[in-house]
Amino acid sequence: MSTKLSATQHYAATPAEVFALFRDRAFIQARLDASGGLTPEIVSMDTGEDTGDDTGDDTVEVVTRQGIPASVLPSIVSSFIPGDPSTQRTETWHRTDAGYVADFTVTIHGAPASLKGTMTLAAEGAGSSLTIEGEAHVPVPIFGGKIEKVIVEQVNALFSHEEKFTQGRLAG
Amino acid sequence: MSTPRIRRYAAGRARSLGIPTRGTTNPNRLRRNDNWMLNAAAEVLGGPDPLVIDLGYGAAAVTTVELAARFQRPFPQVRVLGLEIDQARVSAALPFADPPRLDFARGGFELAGRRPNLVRAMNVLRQYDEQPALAAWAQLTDRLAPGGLLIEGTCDELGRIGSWVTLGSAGPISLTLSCAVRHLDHPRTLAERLPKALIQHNVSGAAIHRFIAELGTAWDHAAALAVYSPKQRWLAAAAQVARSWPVLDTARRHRFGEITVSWPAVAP
Repeated sequence: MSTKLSATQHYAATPAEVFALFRDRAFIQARLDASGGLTPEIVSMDTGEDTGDDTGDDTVEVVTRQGIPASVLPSIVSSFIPGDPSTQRTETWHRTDAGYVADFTVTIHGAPASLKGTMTLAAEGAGSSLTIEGEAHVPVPIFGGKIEKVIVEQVNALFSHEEKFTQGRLAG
Repeated sequence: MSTPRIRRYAAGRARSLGIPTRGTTNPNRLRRNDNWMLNAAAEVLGGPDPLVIDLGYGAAAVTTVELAARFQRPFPQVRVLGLEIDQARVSAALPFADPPRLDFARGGFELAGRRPNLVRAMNVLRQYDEQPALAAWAQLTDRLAPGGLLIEGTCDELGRIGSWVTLGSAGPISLTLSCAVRHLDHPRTLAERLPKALIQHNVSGAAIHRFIAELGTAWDHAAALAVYSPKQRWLAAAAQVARSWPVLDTARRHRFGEITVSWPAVAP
């Protein structure tokens, strides 16, 4: 069983302008620092070389890691994950005709729980929208669904926090 | 210090692992456990040809017959197999068999070589020492079908107070306390019927002791609700405990006098 996650974010900037932030290491680091996790770090960040063929500079793979203090986790989640869980998030962005698309995964060190999905950054009026579709999977029999629901709530809150952060940056 | 060994009784060609239980049982003794399984185990019984084993059903097969009857309507495809290590008890049960829906065979922790989706072992391991009981957990969960569950616990003779641990192949998941609240004097009484893995750890400072104590305190605080019904009092106590413990079920199950908590939170 798995639980679906769905969120849409809105930005008053073109997809290209938003994407320029997503491939800016300083922005990613600042967004990570602002998320309130323990020891946030960029594990790796590979931005595509500018090959001049109009696509090369439109890719980025970013891997970030941060711990979550057990004290802020709902007890249902923390009881199944010992200590302060370390989460690793990978986003692999590429350009499409309509905008930019990424596959993302979030894994928790030492726990079988996972979150996977896609992010789509597309034009919306004069600005852009980022649509996030994902699925949380916690392979705990009987109660996995309940834990997934709690995780999805937490991740939605994190995405909403990131949306505000990015909007703030775009507003200068 | 030597590790206590599980005594093994050779049984001819097919060796059954375990020791005979006292065998005491009662009609309807396991109704609370049956009902909980019916609700919780739906996801493991949905596949093709699901098998449920009632391990160590005792001197009379009545609880296995009841389990099969209760599972029949919601899960008509389920086969129930009662296993007993004592051949005399198997022979006594066979007149009640109705294969393939309900059957009986000789077997112990080796589960007669079957790979069930659900194993119920109530009032079996309480007659073992703690270490052999934990070893039996591993033996049993190793033999589960993929995604299968083991329900292991104990209850009183009338089935009014009981508790069980739910285990998957990766280990224990949850502890369920279950009681007929209208007969409950105080939640501390539940401590008398904890599974073998916990009962000797119910001492000051241990997590299970804290959990039962907090449930008891919440029950005391909810005393005013007893005028409505003991059920309302239990619901309030369970809701209170759920604020600070990883309680996995909701009022929907609390109203039956149950509370299920994440195993790591109460593990020794």
